[in-house]
Amino acid sequence: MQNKPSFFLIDDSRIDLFITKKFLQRHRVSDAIRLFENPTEALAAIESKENLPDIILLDIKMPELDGFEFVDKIEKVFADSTHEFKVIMLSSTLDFRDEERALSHPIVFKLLEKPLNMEDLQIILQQLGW
Amino acid sequence: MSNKITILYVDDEVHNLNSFKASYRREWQIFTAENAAKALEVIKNNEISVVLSDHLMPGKTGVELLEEIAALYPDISRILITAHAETHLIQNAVNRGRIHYFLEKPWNNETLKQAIISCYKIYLTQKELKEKNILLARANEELSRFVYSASHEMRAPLMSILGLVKLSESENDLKELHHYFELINESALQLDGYILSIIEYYKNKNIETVFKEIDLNQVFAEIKKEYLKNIDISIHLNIIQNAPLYSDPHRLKIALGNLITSAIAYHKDPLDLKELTMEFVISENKLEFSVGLISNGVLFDFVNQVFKKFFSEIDAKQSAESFLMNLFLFKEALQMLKGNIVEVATDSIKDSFYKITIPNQYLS
Repeated sequence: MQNKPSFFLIDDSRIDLFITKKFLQRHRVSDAIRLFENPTEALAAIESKENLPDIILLDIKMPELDGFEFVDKIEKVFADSTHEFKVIMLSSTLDFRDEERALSHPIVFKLLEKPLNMEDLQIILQQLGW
Repeated sequence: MSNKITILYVDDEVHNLNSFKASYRREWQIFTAENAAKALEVIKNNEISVVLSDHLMPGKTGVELLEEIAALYPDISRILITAHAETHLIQNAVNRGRIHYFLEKPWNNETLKQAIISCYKIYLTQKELKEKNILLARANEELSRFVYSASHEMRAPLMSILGLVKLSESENDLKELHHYFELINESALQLDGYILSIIEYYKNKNIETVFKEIDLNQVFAEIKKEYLKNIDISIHLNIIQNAPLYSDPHRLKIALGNLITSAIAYHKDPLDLKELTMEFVISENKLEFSVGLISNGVLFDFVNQVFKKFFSEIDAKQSAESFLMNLFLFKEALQMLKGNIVEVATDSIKDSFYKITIPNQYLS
């Protein structure tokens, strides 16, 4: 492991991508952040299995392909192979059903509320060994 | 009203059935049965509003039959007939709500008519109540779904604003700060857009429908002003007009405005979007257009990515996870216009498209 994790940020809101990226940069959490406004493109990048990130921050409410569908799809991609990364889901409205649903996926480590709280994230990063 | 009344008369004495039929068939639609089993068979196959049953019959008695009908078909009004007033029996049946009316044999014509009319009224009221309850339950379900989804959607830009405020608290670079404020402004406008949509939803539900002659170019000029004021896009209209178009201009604007707004919002690259072409065909009885054809460009992407999903979820009555307020308003307004939307499969392109038809009120 390098000393800082790399990130994929996936969110259909351009503004929220910007906010999350700024938070990560300001707290010097990562030097490698890739932004995806379109989940389909992010999925293609993950399917290639090249340059995979350490952590994926994933929005739930996206009209084209929502966060849960996205997780289903990447689980299929890695059905027969291993992966190192973890998914952290983000949502502007925490719903207990969403939380249950998110955590039922082993690939999902946590569901966090928007806007991203850096203290929460840093605790998670510690738990993940960063 | 009386020609709609369907009556089932049950009596084991066949000549009673025949004379009843002969006396009243001009006024009402009469069915007869000589025992309980046959009576239930008739009810099963016909829409009966009132049942009259003699009490003393071999096999099941009238009270037993009416009790069974009350349980199986609670809408049907029930009249019990007895030859000798068996007060105890009647009292019991009436008190338990199993019969609505009691007639003593031999009856006189006026009493019978009164009984039938008042029972038919009970039948109508029950039926109406049931229908209204179904509508009410549906409206309620739709409303709670709307409230749930609207609050979810509105919270998203609000959380963006809070995030930006938090960022700006520890920002020293003035240029960056300025950028944050621009984004706060953008998020606030988005939030305002949702609130305006809710007002629109309310108006769409509550304002009376008015049919007027409509110039589609005018409708689009207003859409441009009201829905697309912050978006730099030119809309090209191909209108094939074979008759004047009459419809409700307000709702037509809501339907088209919201369709286009969501198509733009969910385009792959909204900032890169400069043009949109739509074709309308107006004939004497309808206005037709398609979304999702390759020639639609923007609408093609939109339909394949978002629209299909939205309508399949709406159909499947799933909770609205990928709920889109604009599309919801589009659907609502289309409903008020009595328009319909049909998925059309094509051979040439793999993907289907949607044909939308709105009745032209020109002839009516």
